[in-house]
Amino acid sequence: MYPHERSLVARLKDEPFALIGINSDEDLEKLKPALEKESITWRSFWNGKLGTAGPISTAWGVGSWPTIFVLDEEGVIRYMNVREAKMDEAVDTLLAELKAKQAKKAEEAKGK
Amino acid sequence: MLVRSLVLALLAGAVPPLLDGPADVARIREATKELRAKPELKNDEALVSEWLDTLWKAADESKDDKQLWSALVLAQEVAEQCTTTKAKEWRAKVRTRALDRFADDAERMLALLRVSGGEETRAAVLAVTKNPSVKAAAHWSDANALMAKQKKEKLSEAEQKKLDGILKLLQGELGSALDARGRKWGDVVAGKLRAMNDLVIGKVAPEIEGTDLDGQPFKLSDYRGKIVVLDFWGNW
Repeated sequence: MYPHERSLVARLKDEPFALIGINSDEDLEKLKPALEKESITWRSFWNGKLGTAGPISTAWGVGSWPTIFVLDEEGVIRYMNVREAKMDEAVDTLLAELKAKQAKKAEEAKGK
Repeated sequence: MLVRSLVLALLAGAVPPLLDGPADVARIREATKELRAKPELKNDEALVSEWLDTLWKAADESKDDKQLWSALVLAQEVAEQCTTTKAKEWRAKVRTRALDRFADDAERMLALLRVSGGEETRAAVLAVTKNPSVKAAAHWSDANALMAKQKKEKLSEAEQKKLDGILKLLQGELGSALDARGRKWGDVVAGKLRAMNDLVIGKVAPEIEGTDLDGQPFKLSDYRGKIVVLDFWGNW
């Protein structure tokens, strides 16, 4: 899991993209060495000391790990539970969409 | 029975099992692990009867609640999973005995609902328990059964009314009862309903406000304008 996410984050570091985790480890002190070892640089919310029963996963009704949501720039859920290559594909599609929208806007602004 | 087990053990070339309660329970627990790989055992009249008789006897001879419970819950598991005539007959018998002693023991009742989650068990548990956490768990199993059905067909008026009533109860009167993981049932149910109805493709994801792993506060909406992969993960 980590190698793929690491490479996705590295590849898109200059793009309007963010990988946000909801970490469900119960003990942060035990997690910290792993963050370093696995070079987990992306930001995560902490789900609290109840771990997988923490408030964020409970509020989202998440019952299996990992669970993935891919959101567009307006926060709309566009894909769910896409992994590995499918995750890259989903993100690339949305980035292309976003750029097309921005280009169209720029065009319209010029036209006025 | 004693003679038969000894003969069987000798025939199998195995060491005869120790003839005390906990050892018998442990032996049968080991044996039932094979049920998944060898489903034909579920219909083995002699084998299943031996298991159930021995477990019942182990329950009779148990020295404390822990021993009694481990014999009963395993018997319930056997009775639920196996398809012999005896297994079917024993479902209610074992359940009644478990309920007589443990109806208000939340953890054990949740375990019972896990091994024996059918409508009959839920109704039996609800009829006797006073523990709100146990009630909530039994109601939630009922709700799940109805919601699973709802995905396939339209519920009857009575069923729909029952489902609505349960969901209301779980978010109202029983909402502050805690589940096995220490969460309020009201929050659990609200989350599950939200996942079903609102966390779907095409809807705006709800806000998350929290702190990062260094304790710094931040919000999901800080990332509007960017494509976001939201990853519920754990390092295990």
